[in-house]
Amino acid sequence: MIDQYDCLNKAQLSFEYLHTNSTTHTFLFGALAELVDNSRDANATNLHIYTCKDSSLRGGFYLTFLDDGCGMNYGKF
Amino acid sequence: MVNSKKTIIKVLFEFFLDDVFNVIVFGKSGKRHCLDSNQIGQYGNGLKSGAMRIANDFILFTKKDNIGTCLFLSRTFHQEEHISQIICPMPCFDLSTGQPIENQDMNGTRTYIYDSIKHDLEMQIILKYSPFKTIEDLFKQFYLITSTSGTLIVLYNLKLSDNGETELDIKTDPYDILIDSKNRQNLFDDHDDR
Repeated sequence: MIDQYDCLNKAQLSFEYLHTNSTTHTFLFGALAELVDNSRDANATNLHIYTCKDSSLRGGFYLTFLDDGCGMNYGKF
Repeated sequence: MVNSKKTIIKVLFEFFLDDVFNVIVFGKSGKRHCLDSNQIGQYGNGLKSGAMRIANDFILFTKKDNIGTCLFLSRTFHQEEHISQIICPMPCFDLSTGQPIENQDMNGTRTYIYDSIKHDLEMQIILKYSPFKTIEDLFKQFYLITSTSGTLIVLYNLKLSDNGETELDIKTDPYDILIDSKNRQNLFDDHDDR
């Protein structure tokens, strides 16, 4: 950001946008595919998709994607 | 979850963790700029739009160079604490010691500054609102990544279809996860965010 513009208003994301943005996917399958694509782009050779029961959560289970791709840290660039 | 009346102060947005940081920047993607790329992702939006379509909350664990980074994005947290801006805790750990990462200067480009108050606040939010209620539980997730690098995403508080069941059917076949395609019109409805 160029310093001279610091005093101007900036657009920011509100919480509601998280939902708005997710409506890109009308069908659940496309949303699942996004996560599979991410693993593929990270050069993963294995991707495990599985569920674990947890009765404290809505739906009674959570869904997990586990890959062996390149991973991320904060020092890549 | 009901007992929390206090709003956690929004001090969490000042971090620079390059890779993982970019995950929460909407629309940031380096992939579009290399012409010979055969990568699928183009727009830096897949994780946010996909995960938030599947569930209300997610927590991501990623491992690289023996550093474990967590990324936590929870609508339940925002709703319970009435927060209108998007807050995204992102604690970093040295996986061999289990300790938070100390200050680190990455080739002079960006500095990750460890702040114990911020770290503690991030952990407090994660242990309260994620399915992992202790630090041991949380670290177990990092250890599930047995390869030298990799990523684990946990999606929870899954969307329900109109009949109150999860959209994903894990009961019919114990060895498969099914989508009820007959109900696909209903799948779009969302009653949580009104």
